[in-house]
Formats: sequence, structure tokens, C-alpha cells
Amino acid sequence: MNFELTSKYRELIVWFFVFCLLVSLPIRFYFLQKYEFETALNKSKASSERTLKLLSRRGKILDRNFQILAEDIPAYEIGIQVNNFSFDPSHISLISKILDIDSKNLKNKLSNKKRKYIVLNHNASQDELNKLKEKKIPGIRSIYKYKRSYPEGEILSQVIGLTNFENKGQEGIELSVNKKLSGKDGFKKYVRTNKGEIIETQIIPPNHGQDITTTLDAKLQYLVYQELKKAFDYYKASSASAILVDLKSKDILAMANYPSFNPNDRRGMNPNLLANRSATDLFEPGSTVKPLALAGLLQEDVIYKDIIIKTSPGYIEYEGFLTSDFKDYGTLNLSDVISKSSNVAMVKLCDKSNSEEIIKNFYKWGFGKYINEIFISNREGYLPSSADLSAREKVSLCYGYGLQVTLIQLVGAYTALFSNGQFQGLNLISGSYNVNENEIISSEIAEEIKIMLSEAVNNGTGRNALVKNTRIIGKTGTTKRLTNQGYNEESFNASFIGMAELEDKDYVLGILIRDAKENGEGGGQVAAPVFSKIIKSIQNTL
Amino acid sequence: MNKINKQSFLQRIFLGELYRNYDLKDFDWGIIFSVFFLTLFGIVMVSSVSLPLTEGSFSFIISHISKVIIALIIFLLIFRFPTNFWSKVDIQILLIAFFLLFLVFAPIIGQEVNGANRWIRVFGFSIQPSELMKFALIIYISSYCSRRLDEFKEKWLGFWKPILVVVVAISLVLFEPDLGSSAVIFVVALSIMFIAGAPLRHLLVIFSLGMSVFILMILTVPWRMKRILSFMNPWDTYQNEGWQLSHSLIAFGRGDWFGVGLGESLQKLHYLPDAQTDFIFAIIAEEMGLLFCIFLVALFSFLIFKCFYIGRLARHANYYLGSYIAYGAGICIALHVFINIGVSSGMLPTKGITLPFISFGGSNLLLMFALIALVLRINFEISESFTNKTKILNV
Repeated sequence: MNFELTSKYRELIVWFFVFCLLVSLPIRFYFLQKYEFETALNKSKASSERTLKLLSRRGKILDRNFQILAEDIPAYEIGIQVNNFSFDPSHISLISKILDIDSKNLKNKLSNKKRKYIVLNHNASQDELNKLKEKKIPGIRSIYKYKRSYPEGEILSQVIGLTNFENKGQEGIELSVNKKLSGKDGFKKYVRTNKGEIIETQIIPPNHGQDITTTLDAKLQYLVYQELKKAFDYYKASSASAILVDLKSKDILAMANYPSFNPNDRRGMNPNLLANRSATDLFEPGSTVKPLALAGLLQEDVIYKDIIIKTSPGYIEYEGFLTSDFKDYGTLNLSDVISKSSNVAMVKLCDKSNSEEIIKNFYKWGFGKYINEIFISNREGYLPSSADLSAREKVSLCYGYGLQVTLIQLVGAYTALFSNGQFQGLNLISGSYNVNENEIISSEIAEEIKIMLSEAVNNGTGRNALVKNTRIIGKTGTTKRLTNQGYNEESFNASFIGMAELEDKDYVLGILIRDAKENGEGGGQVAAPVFSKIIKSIQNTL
Repeated sequence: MNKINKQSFLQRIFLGELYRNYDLKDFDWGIIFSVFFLTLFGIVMVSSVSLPLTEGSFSFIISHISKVIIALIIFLLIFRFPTNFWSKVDIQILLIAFFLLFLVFAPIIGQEVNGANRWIRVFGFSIQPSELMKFALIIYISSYCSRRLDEFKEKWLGFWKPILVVVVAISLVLFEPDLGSSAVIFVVALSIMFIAGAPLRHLLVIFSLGMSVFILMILTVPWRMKRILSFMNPWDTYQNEGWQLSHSLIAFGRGDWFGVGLGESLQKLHYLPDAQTDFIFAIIAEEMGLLFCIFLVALFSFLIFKCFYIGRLARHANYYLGSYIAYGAGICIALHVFINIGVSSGMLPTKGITLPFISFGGSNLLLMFALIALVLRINFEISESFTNKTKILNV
């Protein structure tokens, strides 16, 4: 080989080779980044990086005296690892005994070899966990968590509501103020060295949820609930609801339905019982709206307070339909119309006004629209529009047919009536909402109506609501229950809405007993006595 | 030849006897600054890696800094003497290196670590004689080639005599065994001879011979074969052979382009073996990110090509000894950088080669500072020679 390179070119070749070596490094970095990093990071996470959730506590729900209505308590999710264990039959029976699971069911579950881990109980107590741990059953695992507990149980369950298994609001106040109540979980990131030491790298502390104070009074709630229960049994009703309001503050003190459910025991829970019927159940209010309709007519000036109405012969044929009273009351003044609850008189009075005004009046009282924000689900009810209303339908509105309301709307309207005609809504969450005063009727008319309602209790249909030495005013209502097949002539909604002036404060109380089958059927016979009993038991606690 | 009379005591101490005045331009500040930066960064990284390993004790850091100080003393010592001085004592240095290499296998003094005898222990210091052998061979080959330029090019024996020395040296290093260092010595020696004008056919023969030996060494030793295979796909043997490389790649991955931050490495926490020595670059990648890694590679490249440039200048000044030494030093540094980074980024099979100036470990640090001292001295001498060309060859 005669070919020789000069030094200059030999040097250049070395420069070139070394340059190639060095440049290959960044190129390698690039391809490493592009093709290997994902695998590398996954491997790293799997081998040494861990994230631990720091549980946040959900806010408590308190009553007006800061008694706990709902709170988070520690609980455990207990599960069992299935894949590696063959189960001792005695272990299975132990687990089924301690956690109260059907042992056959459990055996089936555990024999499913496809699943590696089976949750035995989502919300086991510390006690149950300790018992299981004592038995030293292989494969048992537990995860610390929070579980919602309702100390007041079934008496408040429909108002307070429920959380789901993730502890998020599902019903009632739990759902409506879920945002405030729920906290934000924090987390702790840590790495594990190859020697097993733990090094924390990042901690985000949990943000606990806010506590919610309601206007409810657990003590009064208990009284109301007990009385509803008694009435339910006595009258063999299908259900009963009641709402107790502090007249001055418009705070809802109690809101009860019977039958109810136990929120602490989810198994065998009847989903039909979840609804807070006092706010969601629609019914035709009947006579209870008569004072409100009358107040509207007076405010409208189409009638005057000294008006006298002939109701003989105890029925009236209006636009082809017959409206009748319980009996022939003869000639009545306004006060008698209310206390005797004369439908005939209401038909005659309402004939003087037009449907637009009547509906406007009801709308002002809060019918046909959602009550102010009370933080539980409620319904707007039904109020027909004036445009397509016949004269017949117009007059039946005045004695409470042809519109649908909820008990809470009715109680809200009466609260306004008793507050000199000022509508201010109701409160369920303390300090949550202030409704501007909204005058529906003048205070003079309101006072007139109150006197009439007093008469209705003392000498009229509401006699059974009386309590000794206590001023009670109020109105009964009895309506045929509307079913899918039209009106049920055998079944009634019995209601009574009234006010009691007790030593400490004035209470507004609304009672609705649905479908009483024994010992009476109308508002006067069924609902008014319950009113009286509740007021008496409140009196006894003072 | 007249010496400069005005030479101060300090100048005499640090620069030896000079024949002319000098100014600051005669030192290559680019090399000085990059070495300074790399060494400083090395101290930072060794601290970062070692602190969690030693539970906060400073023993590693103190040890590393003391080695840097020793390296600096060696640097000044080498820089003080004219390059010709080292050329004159090349055989003696070579003999010392051989002697120490033999000592590796001696009882008591020789240290066996992980089945390899790469270390000797004297006065509490562990020394890697193969690093001294690199230094010795660079000087020996360079001075041989520059002294016998013609004989080396034309006579058969002239070429094979230095090769024989290299082969003996490599055999000893291979016997330790240290395949990585043998490869570095082999390539550095051949490169110097290539630049010096060795006949291509001889080079080709020796190169192919060397390659066959390497391949044989890999094929015949099972654990080397395993290493090669595991390097191709480290994840498959994650728990065994692939562990170190896997965690090195995890470190790269965690660092991504910008790094997890200085001191934040996870892989140094007992995951990545040799994190402060051979695999320190992986931790750098994890903590500082790939962009910084590219900057480091660029800085090393600057340093290496600066050495080459000085070698080229020296040849222009007909100062062949300086030229060969500078090239040898540059190639030696380049190979260390390439093999080390290549290994930790999974481009090359795992080899125990440290990262110059940065890795924990005294011997390599001494070697690198010694090489840089030689290169700086050569630069100093050629800048001298450009002002007074006649003097340099007569020292």
C-alpha cells in the first residue's frame, strides 16, 4: 500500500471521529427521551413512588342548639384478598357472623377466582374490624375512611337526607348544600428508597368541609315526629307530614314525615320513603286556602268586610256543576264563611272577581312557584293560568280545588298571613337567606282574617285544635285525594294550618294527614287534634 | 542560552526556569475555566449524591475535596516542568506504572472489589494503577514517536516496539480485569501512533487483532455476555442484570428536559448502584435535566477540541512531542466522556469508566488533572515558541 496520509489529514480524521462520538450523545438523549422515558417513568412509579390520600371530613349538620344531626365518624372498608387463599369454612362462617353477611352468598363470592379482592363491608365499624382482626383470618384488609352517621336517626332523615357510599350528598340537605359540606381530600406523596425508608416529597393537607347549622330544633322535631307517628297509627293513615315554624324569625323548627326511614341502616331501605313529602308532595289544599282567597278579595276591594251571603239551600249550581256545603248554613257573614267553611259562600264571593286577580292573589301567597331558597328539594306546585280558565274553574279555586300545593307552601302562606300579610319566606339554614318583605295584604285585612280564623277554631270546624289557656287560630282543610282514576270519594287529605301563641313565642304549625281510614276523615276530625297534641307537648317542655 | 534574570521566586516555584517573559495570554483560559467549572460541579454533584447515602455525613465530600486538592498539587507539579522533562523520564514512569499494575495482584496491597483487582492500597489511599498507565503510555508513545519519527515510520521494528509495550500493559489491565480501561489505553495509543504517521497497514493489523481479542473476551466470559444482552433491553432483566441500567434510564426519564431539581434525585436513594462514580451522569440527568446534560457534553467537547487545537498548533510549531501528548490527552478525555455517558444513557454496555472531573474517585481525577496540566504546559510552551521559535527545542 503506497497510499500515505499526511499528518494534516490524519489529524482531521481524528477530529472527525471524536466529533461523531460526542455528537452521538445528545442524539442518544433525544431518542432516549422519545422512546424510553415513558417506560422508565412507569417503572419508577411502580417501584418507588406512592401517593396517599389524606381524607377530608365532611362538615357536620347541626340543629339550632348545635346538636349534631349528621357527622362523619371513622369507619373501615373491609375486604378480603381472594386469589392466594383457600378458605377455611370456619373462617367464612366467622366473617358472615361478624359482618352480618349471608354465609351462602359469601361462599359464592369467595369462590369466584377471577376477582382478586372482594369488599366485604363498605362501612364497617372499628368494633367489627377489631373482632375480625382478633380471629386472624388471612387476607383481610381494611381501609380507613369516614362514614356518615345520623344520631337522630329516622326522625330527621328525610330533611337531612343521605350521602352515597362515596360520602357525597344524595338527598335532602346533604345534597343541596353538598358543596359547602364536602371537603377536599389532600394527599401525601412520598418515595420509598431502595432500603425501604420513606421520604415525603409533598403534602397537600385535606380541606375539611364546612359545618352547616340549620334552624331545626331536634327536641321539637322529636315531639312532632312522635305525634305524627301516633296519629298515623290511630287514624290508620297512609302517611302524615307536619311543619313547625317560628312565626317571628320564619325559622323552620321541625319538619317531619311519617313513615320515615333509618339513615344509619341502608339495607332494606325503602326508596319510596326517601322523599321529604312535606316539601315535595302535591295536594289540593281545599278549605285551607279560603282565608287566603278571602283576604285577596278584600284587598282587591270587590267585597267589603260586612258583606252578608245567603248560602241556602246549602248548595249552588254554578255553570252546570253543583257545589254544596256540609249542611244548609243559611245567611253568613265573612267570619262564619271561614269558621263554617262554606263552599257555597266562596263560590258566590269569588264570582265577583275575575280569574286573573284570583290567580295573582294565590301567586302572591307563594303558590305555583318555588318557595324561597330553603336548601331542600321542593316543588313549585300547580296554579292554572288565567287565560284558559273557565268561570267554573275560577270559583272552585276559591275553595281549594284546581290548584296543587305543597305543605311547605301552605305553611309559608299562613306564616305570611300571621305576619300582618308580609311574605318573608321560610328559613332552614341559619343565616342563609333573607327574603325582602313583600306585602300581600294590608295589616288591617290580615288582622280581620286572623279574627275569623280564631272564630273558626273556637266555634267552627277547627274546635279539636284547641288547647286550654292558649290562643289558637287556624283553618282546617279536607279534600278528596286525587288519584290516577280521578277523585277518590273514600280517601281524604286532612289538613290543619294554624298558629299557637305560647309563652316563649308564636308557632305556626301545618299538619297534613293523608288517607285516614279510621276514627275520622276530615281536617277537623283528624288534623286538628294532632295540632292540638303537638302544641300541648311543646307547652309541656317549656 | 540566557535565562531571564528578573524571574521571581514564585515564578520559579510554579513555572520552573523560563527563557522569556510571559503574560496571561500564554495560559489557555478556556481550558482552565471549563476544568474549574466541571470540577466545582463535580463537588456539588458528589455532595448531592453522597449526602443521602451517608445519612448526612460529610465523609464523601471531604474525601472528594481532598482528592481535588491533591489533584491540584499534581497539576501544579506537572505544569512546573517543561514537557521535555516528562519525555526524558518516560521509561521510568512506565516502569513505575508497570510495577504498580503488578502490585494489584499482590496480597495485602492489592484490593479485590467485586471480583476485580483494580486497586492498590497505600497509606490509606486507594489507587488505580491503570489510570497511571494511561498517563505513562501517553507520554511514552508520544515521546517515542517524536524521537524516532523516521524509524517509526519506516522500520518494521520501529512500529512494533511500542506496540509490544502497549500489548503488555493492556494484558495486565485486562487481567485485572478492566475491559473499559484496556479499551481506552488501546485506542489512545493507536490514535497517537496514527497521528504520528504510523503505516496504515500495520495499524490495521493491530487494530483488527485488538478487536478480535475484545470480542473473544466478551464471548467467552458469561457475565460480559449477559451485560451485553441486558444493555440491549434492560427492562427484561430489571431484577437482575438490567437493574443498574434500568434505574439509570429511570433517572434520565424522571429528569426529562429540565430535571427534578438539584438534590431531588430519587434514584440516588440506594436504587442506582455506583451513583457517585460510574453512574453520576444519570443522577445529573435526573436532577438537572437533559438540556443541562447537553450543555455538559458541549463543555466537554469544547475542552477536548481545545486540546486537539493545541496539538495542531504544536505540530505547526514542529513541536511533535507536544502535539502528540495534547492529542493523546484529548482522545483520552473524549473516550472517558463518551464511554461514561454512553453507558449511563444505555447506548453502550455497562463499563466501569468514570466521568472526568466530576465522578467521585481520586485516580481518575489525578489522571485528568495531569493530562490537563500537560496540555496547558504545551500551550504555554508553544506560545513561547511562537515568540522565539528556536528556543523550545533546546530546553
